[in-house]
Amino acid sequence: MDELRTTLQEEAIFESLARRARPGERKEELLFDLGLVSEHEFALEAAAKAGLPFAGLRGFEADPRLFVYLPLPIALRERVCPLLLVGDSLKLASVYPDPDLSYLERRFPNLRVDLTLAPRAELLRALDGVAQTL
Amino acid sequence: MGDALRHADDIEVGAQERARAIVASAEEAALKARADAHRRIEETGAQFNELLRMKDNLLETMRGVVGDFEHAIARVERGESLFTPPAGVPAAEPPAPVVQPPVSAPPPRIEYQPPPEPEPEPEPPPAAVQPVAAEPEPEREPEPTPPPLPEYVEPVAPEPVAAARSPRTAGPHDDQIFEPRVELDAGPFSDFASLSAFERALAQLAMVDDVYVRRLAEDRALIELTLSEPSPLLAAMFESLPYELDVRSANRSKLVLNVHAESTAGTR
Repeated sequence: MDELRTTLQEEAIFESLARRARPGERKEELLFDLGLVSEHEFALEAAAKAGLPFAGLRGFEADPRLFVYLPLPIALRERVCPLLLVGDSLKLASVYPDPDLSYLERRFPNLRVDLTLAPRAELLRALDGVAQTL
Repeated sequence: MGDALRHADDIEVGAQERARAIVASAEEAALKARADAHRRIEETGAQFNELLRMKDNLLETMRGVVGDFEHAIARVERGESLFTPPAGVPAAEPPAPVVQPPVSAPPPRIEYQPPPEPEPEPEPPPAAVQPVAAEPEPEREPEPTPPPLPEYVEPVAPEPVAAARSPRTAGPHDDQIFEPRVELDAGPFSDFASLSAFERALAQLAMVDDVYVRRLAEDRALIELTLSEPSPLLAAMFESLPYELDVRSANRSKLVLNVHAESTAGTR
């Protein structure tokens, strides 16, 4: 009974956290916001564990032309940012190793996507820069 | 006159009875309302206690997370590995990349649609403002093998660094003075913990103002160092860092190193 109560409490907590306002925000981002987890270290560790490369985006300015492939609202929601296009391969920075890229798969089935993980704040800053130019 | 007085008395008695009935009914309603209010107060109190318990639960979870991090950081600072696989136990299968399908050869780099400012080849610009998109992709070796995900084991206490370090002769780059912005290409790092430990060790050098990991691919990291002033960085690294450093190349703004932890835990 206590376990059930604890589970229900945790669900209630996560449910309330899930109602946070920013688009695409995941529950665990609370830990970033509270400073309990370093975003840079989280991205590095996630990259190491997932076998994906890591890229720091400090000072990086995203190329607005690349958002033809991935509209900005989807990029914001999925926490991804296109970095560069090489041939038919789009390199995407992502906060998480599992973004929903079904839009790209539907619209550009022949486009290959290479994921690289990046810290959340730096990625959102890059997207914000693009939002101001569009 | 007497009839009138009696009639008046009857009216008064009737009115008093009605008034008593009204008062009784009002008292009953008030009682009910009071009971209802008490019930609601109790319910609200219970909800409040539930909220407090939820808050305690959340705090406890967060303290647990903080404790885990502190524990992990303490281990890293002691030079112990967090992810060393136990002897005789095969490492876990490395996970497949989420999007990228396994390929046997690197994809053909047919064409490069550059971002606005292409990077000059011979001397890279200051790394802190260098956009990732502007960097040409380094040629990768075929079939990148992501590092395995080993399981945690209690590490053996590392040897004292001073005891493990052997005397070395001065290398040709030891006196090199580095510019305030240095790009350090270092590896191999078998896991996040070893990279993190190296990063922390760099940050403890007196001349180093900032350490920023710009890129990690396979087992090598590109680290941007900001020095307080032009300094003999390499000499300081040899003197202070608990690593064996194998200098592959060095100039005023770029340093390529192979690093190996001198203790039992580390980067090998």
